[in-house]
Amino acid sequence: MTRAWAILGTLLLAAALAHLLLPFDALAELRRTAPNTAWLLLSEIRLPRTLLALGYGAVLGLTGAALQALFANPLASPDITGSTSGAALGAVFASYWLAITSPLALAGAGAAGAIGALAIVVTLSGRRSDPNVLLLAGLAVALSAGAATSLLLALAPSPFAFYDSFDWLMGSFVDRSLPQAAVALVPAAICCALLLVRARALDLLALGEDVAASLGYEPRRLALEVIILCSVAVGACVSVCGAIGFVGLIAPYAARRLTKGHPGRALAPAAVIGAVLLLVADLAVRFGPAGRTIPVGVLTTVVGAPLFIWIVVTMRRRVAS
Amino acid sequence: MTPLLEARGLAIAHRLAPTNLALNAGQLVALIGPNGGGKTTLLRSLAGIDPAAGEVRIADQRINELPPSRRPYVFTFLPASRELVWPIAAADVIRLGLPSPDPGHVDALIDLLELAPFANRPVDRLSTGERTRVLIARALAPRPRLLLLDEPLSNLDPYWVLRLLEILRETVSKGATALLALHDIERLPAFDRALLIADGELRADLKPEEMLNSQEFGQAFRIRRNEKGWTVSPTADQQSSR
Repeated sequence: MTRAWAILGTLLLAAALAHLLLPFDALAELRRTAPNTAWLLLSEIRLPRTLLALGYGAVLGLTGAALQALFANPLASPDITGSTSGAALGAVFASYWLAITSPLALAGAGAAGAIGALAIVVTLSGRRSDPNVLLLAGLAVALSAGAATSLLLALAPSPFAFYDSFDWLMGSFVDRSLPQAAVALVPAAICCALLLVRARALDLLALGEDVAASLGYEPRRLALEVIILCSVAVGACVSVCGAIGFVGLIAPYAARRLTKGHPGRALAPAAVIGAVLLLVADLAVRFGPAGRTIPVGVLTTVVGAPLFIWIVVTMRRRVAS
Repeated sequence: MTPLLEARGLAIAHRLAPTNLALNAGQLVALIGPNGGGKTTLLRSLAGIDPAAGEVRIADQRINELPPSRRPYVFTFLPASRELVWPIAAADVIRLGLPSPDPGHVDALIDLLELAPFANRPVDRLSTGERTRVLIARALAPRPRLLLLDEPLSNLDPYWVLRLLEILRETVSKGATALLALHDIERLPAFDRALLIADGELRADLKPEEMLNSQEFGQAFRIRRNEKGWTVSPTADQQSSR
């Protein structure tokens, strides 16, 4: 595991530096002609983008790993608890119907949407904390919130709402400021730290809820805490950068290969892998076709969907054998 | 002598009638009863899994005051379900839940339960019987003072049923206590004491041989012993309804 950490750390550093400095030519040219502008470009434009890609990727990897451990299901992800869609709905409503522009208020609306979606999920699944019921309720809420978001955009006072929201909802780190990055990443970092504290309890959940309960961990309370922490972390990120799919699914899957299947121990490596994945994806988007910007969320979905199918196929093989 | 386990007024509405129970150290105790009689409910409430009224003390400490770091040394619980989702190696499952590493003891348990051939295989690829042995090794790993085992003998082949009873006898002889829910009444003579639970109520607490001949046993299980073995006997209710 020490070697794995060394490799992960190096990869993260390399990805973050590459993301910050590439393309290098323009930066080097500016540094010669106008050093102050070069510094501004680096600190005001590229740094927030790098921080957001790194932080959001880490949030997706870590929350995905936490939710998968909680539901004992390698296909769970922040999308499944309805967090992502609920956050998008909250932020869209605040932005296009209440005309709120303050990033902090929008992050609040995102977190409120995520928690609202969660409240409905918990109400739907009832007092029984059967993970599968919760999973289905999450899926139902995610689909409803997605539909409601589209409806709100279609009926929004601004006729450009749909076009305008494309960059945002599809997930993008372009043109975000440092304060915006702070609004997303500070609450997210606090939630992630609190989730990491629960890694051991999540590991013991691998022995089943009954054994975890006999060891002194209350599975229902743990479930509630994990879902709320994941919702707030994802909600804050979605309100600033929009929804990004599949990273929360793929990163934990890869991380568990490093932790020999232990779901709780996979939280930290999943965060690093998620960060590297999103940094690389956003770097790839930068070198896309000239004049066109592909939102990074579209790229992760295009690459992630086949991997998702592959996971389903390997799961089926496992069940069959 | 204070008993190792003491339950007072342990009750769950509609499932478990107020129950008092005391188990001394060094006992191998069987918990028997018909299907749905409350064996699992009693074990789960003793382990603090199902919230219940009343009080459970193990080793003179209230169970809900035991911190997670100490619990495995006081008692462990084997659930009836042998399902394990994550592909964790068998040896790692045994180590899960150990507050501090104890490699020598884990290796000894792998030998004792003959797990070496599949110690490094993911548990989701093992047979139910193999997984049962892995989970029993996990329950034994912290050297707990009390073992609460729900149907540990089911899914095991005849060799392992006998071998596990030997292993538990050895564990108990070192001062631990084991309470096992079980169905196989033929195994009762291997125990020091037998508890009978039916309709969520503790009906009898006897020596195994006395238990098999008791009226409560016959009533609860609706079977009786004759010279050929066991045979079905209708209950008083059934007879009167005829």
